[in-house]
Amino acid sequence: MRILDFVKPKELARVARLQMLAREVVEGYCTGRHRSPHKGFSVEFKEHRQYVQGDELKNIDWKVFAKSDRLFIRQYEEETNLRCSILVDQSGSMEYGGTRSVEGLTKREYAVRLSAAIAYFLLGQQDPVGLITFDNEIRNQVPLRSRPSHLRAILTALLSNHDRRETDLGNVFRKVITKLGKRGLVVILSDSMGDIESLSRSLAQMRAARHEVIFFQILDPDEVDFPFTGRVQFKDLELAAPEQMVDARVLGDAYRQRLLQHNDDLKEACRRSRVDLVQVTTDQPFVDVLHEYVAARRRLTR
Amino acid sequence: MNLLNGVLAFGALAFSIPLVIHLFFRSRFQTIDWGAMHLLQAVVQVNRRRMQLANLLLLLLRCLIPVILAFCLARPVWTGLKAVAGDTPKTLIIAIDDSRSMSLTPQGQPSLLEQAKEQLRSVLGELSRRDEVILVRSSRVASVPSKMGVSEALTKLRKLSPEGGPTTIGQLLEAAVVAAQDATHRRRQIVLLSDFQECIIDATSLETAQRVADETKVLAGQGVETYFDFIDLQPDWDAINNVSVDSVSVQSPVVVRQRAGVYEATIRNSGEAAANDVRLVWSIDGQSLDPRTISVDAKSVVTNRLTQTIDDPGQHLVTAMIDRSDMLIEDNHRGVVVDVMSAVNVLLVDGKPSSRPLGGQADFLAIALSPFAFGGDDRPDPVKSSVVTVDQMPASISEDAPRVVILADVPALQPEQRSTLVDFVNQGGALVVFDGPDVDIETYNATWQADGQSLSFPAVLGTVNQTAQEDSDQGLDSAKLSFSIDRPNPQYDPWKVIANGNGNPFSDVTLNAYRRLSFDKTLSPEAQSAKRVLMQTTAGDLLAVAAPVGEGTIVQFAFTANDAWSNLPLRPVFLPMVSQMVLDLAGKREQWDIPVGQPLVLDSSDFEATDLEASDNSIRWSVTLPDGEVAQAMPSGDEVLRFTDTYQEGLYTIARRSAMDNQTAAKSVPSVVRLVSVDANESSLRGAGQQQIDRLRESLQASLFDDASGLNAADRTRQFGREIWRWLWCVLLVALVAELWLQQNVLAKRRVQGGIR
Repeated sequence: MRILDFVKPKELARVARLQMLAREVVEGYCTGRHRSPHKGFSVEFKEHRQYVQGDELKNIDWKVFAKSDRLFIRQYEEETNLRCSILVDQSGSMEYGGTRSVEGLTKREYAVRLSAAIAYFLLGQQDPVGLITFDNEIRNQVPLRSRPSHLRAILTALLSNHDRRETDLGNVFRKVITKLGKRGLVVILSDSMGDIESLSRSLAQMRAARHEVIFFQILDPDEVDFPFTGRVQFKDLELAAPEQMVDARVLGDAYRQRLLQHNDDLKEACRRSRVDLVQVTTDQPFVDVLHEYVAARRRLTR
Repeated sequence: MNLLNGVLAFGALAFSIPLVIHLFFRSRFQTIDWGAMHLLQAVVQVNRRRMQLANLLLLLLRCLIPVILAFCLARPVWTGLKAVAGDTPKTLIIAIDDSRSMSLTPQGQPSLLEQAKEQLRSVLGELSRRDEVILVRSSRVASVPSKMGVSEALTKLRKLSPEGGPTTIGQLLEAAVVAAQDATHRRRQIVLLSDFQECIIDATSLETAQRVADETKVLAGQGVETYFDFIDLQPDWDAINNVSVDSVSVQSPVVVRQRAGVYEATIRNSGEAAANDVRLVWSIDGQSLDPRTISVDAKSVVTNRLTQTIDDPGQHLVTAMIDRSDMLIEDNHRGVVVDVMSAVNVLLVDGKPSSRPLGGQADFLAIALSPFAFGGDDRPDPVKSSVVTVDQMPASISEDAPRVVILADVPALQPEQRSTLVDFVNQGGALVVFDGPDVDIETYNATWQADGQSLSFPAVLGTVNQTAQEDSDQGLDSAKLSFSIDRPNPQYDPWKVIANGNGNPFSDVTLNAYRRLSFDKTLSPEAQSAKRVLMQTTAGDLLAVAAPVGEGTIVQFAFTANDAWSNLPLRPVFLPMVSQMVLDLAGKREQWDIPVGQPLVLDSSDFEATDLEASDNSIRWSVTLPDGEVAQAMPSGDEVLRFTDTYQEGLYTIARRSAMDNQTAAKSVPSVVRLVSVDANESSLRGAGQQQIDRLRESLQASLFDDASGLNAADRTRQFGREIWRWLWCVLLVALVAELWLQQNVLAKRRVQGGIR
């Protein structure tokens, strides 16, 4: 099992170029009680400020003092290790794959690939990466590690067996929060099919635990524009619910309206919790999505 | 519900076409494993019920359209919950009012009867050959109508003329229902055509209608269906223009030849405008007298008197005719038959004849009854009186055939004399009894019996009431000490001529004595009420009492006919008093006038004694009708002739002749005449109120139609049910529009708007 099974070499190359940047300072392994092992390498000058009593003397810029006869302190922007937990939705609804998606992937397969790419990319930065797969419960959990060999464990977990269970994002996320540990980056890959209200509360809790959250909402193009016509029998992928025989043409608009409403609710929930929402359809190359997101984050950071 | 084109109803099976199409499309669908059921479910739940309802409605409409179309083409008829008669034959009973008022001819229209005939022709035109018709005419409700076919009915209808008298709707209905009992078919339609004149709908009619309705219900239980229809032929009563002669009567109590008789005609103007300068022509036996001109105000009545002498004794026809064209011409003339007598025979029975002048009991009466003869005048007296003794009386009665017998102070009568009088009075003679000192009270207070007939006097005789002065011979002329007579009974017509305005004609009469008369209180109230007091004292004692006995009359006086008890015979008032009373008593109150349609009843006594003494079998009766036709008639036993064919107005001459008398046809034969006339009520042109008609209609559950077309349509509905394809067409149209609207506006709009509302 290799990363190339999930990500093509060409895409992988693009992934490697990506820089995952945290918008906020995330508490890493090397700050706090221990000194950083890569001192001077990873420290970037930020600004000077006037010395006040109590500042450590070692931070005084003596060169400036020599020039100006004033005491200034050099301030550095510290880089920390990014603790990234990837939450992958493996519920039944993620099993839908339309004809227009990339290589006919289902949403779950798409999410798997995307998460593999992210893991690979972060491990490449030697950031610790963990994985949690879930449907209505937590199904698999891979702890945070920064070793490159950890990728294999993540990939294994991603490919583990999955049943078509229903989604209950709100509940699951509440359980997940307890397992995330220290604050870090949480990447959620889900189609967000569920109660937005409950989800909203969970996201708020997550944010309260000072996690940085990126929500990738993965939808199939069919789910977005509902291209069906004529009499269609819709079978639920999650539950053995009664099949719905509908006149798709009649329902199309109503459905799109409902989806719009749903997405608006989700956006609103994310905005309130200051969660980054990335809406993705499976017909987009996932690396592009990742790239665009990172670029956007970088722009915001600068 | 019946279908006229039942086969086409199978077209309703076409409803399966949209159903099959629906099911066919329902079976074609694709299955998709869907993830976002979370979103879809909500939409489906919101829309499913609405969509299903709309779709179901659309499917129903589409199924309904071919069904309605098929039903339209199948021509359904609505019959309610009843079974319809269909083609079963029926009996049409035409109850037609052919009274005179139906000859009313409104301005610019045919007469009401002609209108009725026109309507009936239309009704008859709808009948099939199996149907039968019974024609019941209001003028002949008593006769038994016959069943006939349509063509015969049309012929009879053509001959129908409005000459009947007023027959109430009740009688007509009853006759129609009786006629319906003979109907062959179990389905009976009674069509009543009338102008619904006021006089023909009375309370009895409404009761009869209710009874008839009850009988009909009973019959309905036995499977005989009877229904009533009215055709209303009422004219615009307010626009009536008619002057009619309502009556012609003889005012004189008796008409004697060569003496003036008084006749009176009543002329009514029913119109809203006054009738001025109307020519009124009196005629006697067809000989017109000089015309007169009269004016009659709107809605009023005038009387016109004719005083005319008729020279020849016998029956004469006096007619009054109005020369005016109005809406009802038939009632512009009317007549009366007058029996002109040569003289009235009066037999005076003197109970105490005397050789002295005016000494007898009846002498004053003889003078009072024949004043011209007494005075040597040439002029004829109306009364021919003869004075006889009691013993001569029976013989004189049989010989002279007097109309009036006057007993003056007749003390007592032998049984045979009594029986003669009993027969005389019971057969119509008039008996006048004057009191006197010799009268045997017991004789007059007893009831006289003879041959099963009886005679009792109106008052019971008591003692003589005299003034005390008479006993002491102080003279008769003591006015203070005499009884005074009150004014005569104003209700007694003959004595109206002696009435002296408000004064008392008897004020100068002194009455010294009179017999106490009293009524027998034990008699029945009817017998009591039949008695009339003609004269009484101012104190209230009876002086003259009259009462009918058998067919005759008895008048009893409490005083004498001579001047023994009073000076009345010496007074001028005595002559007119006695002569008018005698003429009134002599006048035969026989009914010469017969209402149209009533049978003519005659027996030998109606003829003067003739030489026809042959056996009954050899006597032939013949009746000459007003139109000149001669009908032979046979007496129906007892020598009584009943002639029922009196449906024409006019003079009927009934002759009786011997069978062996044919060769002497030219010789005058004894005959009597009867005048058949239509009741004046027929000229009373007022309509019964709509309320009355409605009550009548409601009690019979009848339908009222203005013309035959409405009746025919209603009858077709009754027979076959109501065709409802027009309504179905409307429903179809509505269904089509609804289908289009539902498809275009509801379903299509939902598609466009996404269906969420």
